[in-house]
Amino acid sequence: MKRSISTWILFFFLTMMVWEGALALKIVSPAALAHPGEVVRALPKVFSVAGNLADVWSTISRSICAFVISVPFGMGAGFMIFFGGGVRRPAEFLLDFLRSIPATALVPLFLIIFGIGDTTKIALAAFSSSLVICLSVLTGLHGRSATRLGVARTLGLTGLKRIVLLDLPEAAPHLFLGMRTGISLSLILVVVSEMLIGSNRGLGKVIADMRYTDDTPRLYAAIVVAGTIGFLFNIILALSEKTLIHWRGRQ
Amino acid sequence: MPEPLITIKDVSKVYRNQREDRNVLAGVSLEINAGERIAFVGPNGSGKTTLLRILLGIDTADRGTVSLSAALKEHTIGYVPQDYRNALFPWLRLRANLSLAHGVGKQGYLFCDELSQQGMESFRRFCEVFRISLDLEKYPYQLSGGEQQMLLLIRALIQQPKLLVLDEPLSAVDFARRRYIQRLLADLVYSTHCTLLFASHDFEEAVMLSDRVIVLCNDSGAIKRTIEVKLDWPRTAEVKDDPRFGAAVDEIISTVL
Repeated sequence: MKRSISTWILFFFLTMMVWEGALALKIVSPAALAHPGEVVRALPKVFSVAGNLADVWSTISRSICAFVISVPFGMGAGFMIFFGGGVRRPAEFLLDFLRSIPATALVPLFLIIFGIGDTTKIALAAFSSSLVICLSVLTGLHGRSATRLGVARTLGLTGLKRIVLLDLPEAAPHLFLGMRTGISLSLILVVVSEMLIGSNRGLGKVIADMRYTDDTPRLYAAIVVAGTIGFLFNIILALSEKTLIHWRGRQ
Repeated sequence: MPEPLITIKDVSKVYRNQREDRNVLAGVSLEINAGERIAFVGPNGSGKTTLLRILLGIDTADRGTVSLSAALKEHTIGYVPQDYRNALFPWLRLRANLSLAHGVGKQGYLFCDELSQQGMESFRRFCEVFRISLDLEKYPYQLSGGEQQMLLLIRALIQQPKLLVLDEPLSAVDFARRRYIQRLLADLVYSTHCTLLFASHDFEEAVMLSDRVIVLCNDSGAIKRTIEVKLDWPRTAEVKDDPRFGAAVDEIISTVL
């Protein structure tokens, strides 16, 4: 334990040395890379551009909102496509195609449909996230155990009961994988649309503004905050996965 | 002659992979009467599991038909699959896994993992005769392979089935208990007049529990031979001393080899 802590500290100092070294040896210009100390000092300013946590909070709430919308949509679509009989093949093809469209290419289209505002940002993120979740549900359902399906059949499990007791848990490990990708994607698209689409709040806007004002330390601080949010989202999902999917890898 | 319980006509199944096509079953025909006890033996890959799955309706044949008599459709079927590690739902406690069996769970709920009083009583009785203790609050992955198989067997038997389909049901059970359970099963099947179809690698088990042993062929996928077991029911521990018992086992061994 002691040894692992010292490894962490050593690793941290090495990173800082490389960072400072790159600046001291003039390998990177200070306009492109801020000093670590400056970034740390700039961190509080990220939280207080609008006098409070408004920017950070807008990004978090938009991402969560998009994610929360995408879960039922993605799952519902996944189940409907899988159990849709003849629709399955063409629908899976369509899904593969939609997923291949770079989501940012859809920004103008979403602007036309939803106008400038929160709706566009959330809709774009929710759209991408639900595609990933839908695909992961499909993968999970395709991988159901043939033995358990046979057992369910001889036990007379059908309809809603089978979906809840068999299909949903069978798909759950993959669903969680999809949800983790989905929430990361939501955050990415919210930040991107905050940068691309007119916005008065949000980390994406802070990042874009700092570039215009050449405030590199604050730009880095905003990036660090965005990264931390994504990291925390993933940790929360990973922890809930561990408790909810308790049977994983233990059969 | 009464109508057979299950009629299998010319059933064939081919497993295809990139290298070659393999005939798992080729032109298998069989009539199974109510109350009959049939063992399927043969090397790995000879189609025992596939045949059982096809007649349960959970796998499809490429050719041929399987028809079940109308009498069977009204009754429950007890099934223990070969792949016991994937046969229980690992996300449900043993209690809930057990409650999925017919007539064991509490009635009138869509989702309820409680056992009815009667279900609980018969579970306790089975545990007692099988000399095993199973904690219903546990999850399946907390059990050993043998315990999982015992739970599967109990779940199949607790439904008082008219047809029992067991696919190597005791493969992970330790030797002493396996011998003991085989005798109990023989008694149970005899006293309930239940139709028994089972696959086994244990030839003594096959003879002990059956009226007919069907030897399946590995390469052609056909029935190699049917061996009649002319031993009296009920079968006691002494049945193994009967010279016909050893003769039947020897006959199976020479046929399989």
